[in-house]
Amino acid sequence: MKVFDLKRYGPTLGTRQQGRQAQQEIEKEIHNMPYGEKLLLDMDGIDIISYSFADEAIAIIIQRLTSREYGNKFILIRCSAQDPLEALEVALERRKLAVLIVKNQKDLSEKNWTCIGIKKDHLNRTLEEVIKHKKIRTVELSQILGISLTNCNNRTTELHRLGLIDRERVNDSSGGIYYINKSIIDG
Amino acid sequence: MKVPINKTIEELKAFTFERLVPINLREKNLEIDLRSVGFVDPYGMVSLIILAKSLSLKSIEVKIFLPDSQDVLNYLERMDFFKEVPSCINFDKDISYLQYNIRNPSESLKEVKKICREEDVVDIVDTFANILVTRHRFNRQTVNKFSEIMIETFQNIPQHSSSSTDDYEPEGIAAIQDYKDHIYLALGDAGIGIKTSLLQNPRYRRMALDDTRAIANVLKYGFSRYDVPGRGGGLQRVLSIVTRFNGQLLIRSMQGLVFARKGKMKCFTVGNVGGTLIGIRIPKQVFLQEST
Repeated sequence: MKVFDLKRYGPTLGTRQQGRQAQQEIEKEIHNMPYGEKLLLDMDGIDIISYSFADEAIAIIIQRLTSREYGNKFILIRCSAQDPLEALEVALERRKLAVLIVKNQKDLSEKNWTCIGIKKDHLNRTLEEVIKHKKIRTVELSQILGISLTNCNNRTTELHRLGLIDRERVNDSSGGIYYINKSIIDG
Repeated sequence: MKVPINKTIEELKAFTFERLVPINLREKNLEIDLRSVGFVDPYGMVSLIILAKSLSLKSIEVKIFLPDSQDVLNYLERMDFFKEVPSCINFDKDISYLQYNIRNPSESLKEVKKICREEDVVDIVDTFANILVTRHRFNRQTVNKFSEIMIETFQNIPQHSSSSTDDYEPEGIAAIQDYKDHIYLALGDAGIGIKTSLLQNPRYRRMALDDTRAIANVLKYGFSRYDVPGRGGGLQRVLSIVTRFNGQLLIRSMQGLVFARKGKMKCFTVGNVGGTLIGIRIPKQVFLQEST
């Protein structure tokens, strides 16, 4: 996992112009990453992130990731404080996006991550199970959640579209296909 | 013919400023009478500067009758009023002696900054924020949220106060002051105003958009001159923070004025002052609490 330290722009991440500069540098990192790789945006130590910076530097990049402009790549954010995330959450909600926040990359348990942006309880519940199991087939996930395979498939497709999980398509020996859903936190 | 704006006022602040706004901008000479003014707040001072700049841009000759109150004159000097007001404005008396007075004897918060370039915004915000935290011992978390307000409003000056075609160089002014029970932030520019800025976006050109509706739509629906998703959320974010802090937000642009408080908005049609003025009042109490 690559790490991009946002502190390089100082503890106050302010204007849209500053955000545009960060966006270009983050994009450069993403272009250099192989498919399936994750980029961790480190926000620890940041005091302020404005709506404008958050939208320009992070939400736009996540939008492009979800439209697969960069291929199958992912973004996570490390931020231990809640306050600087507020404006980012507003920016993501406006664009109907979401991102995973991790508090300490070395000690990842259920309690050390959260998802901000669009809020859908059923998707959060599904995301929780994928992260808990690290890798899980959709059929097994549907049984755990007590929902139909089609319903579960719709949820994991949406989580994958939002860039919150990775998915691997597997051809089985009988000629069918199935999906393995992977947590991007523990990958 | 000289037209005196002789509606005498005793306080120069939001709403009382409206009594100074000249109705007839076709006159070549105007006189502004401030002689009975005994109190000026940052909004009053910034709005007077913007009014003077707008009138001078229209080549209207302006003479200001300065307040009789020495305290008010000292305040205007400390707040750089005489530096910021266009040099073509005439005063009724010599004020050169004011520069020798002690600039800020009380050491209370009275800061003024000029805003021209987007790259200067973060430094100006950090300067204001550091004063609030170090000198006034305000809660850092609340100051951080207040900094968000400053960033979003300050950057609008270089981003929105000029059109893509005119040769107006963006220039604005921001002033902050603390009072016994609140902090007041005021800023303004003599640019194209919010409605004209929004009309740069083809999406709104067919809408019946007056100045007041333009401001209200920015605050309610996130209208922006840029037809790009994600744009237009800055002032909405400002309103959301101000509301959470039980504060007040006033936006005045050309002939529109919107006043927001406690989640409610009041809209007014007012006399035409060029550009945009913003006044934000936050109760001091929120800066003194341990957490927000």
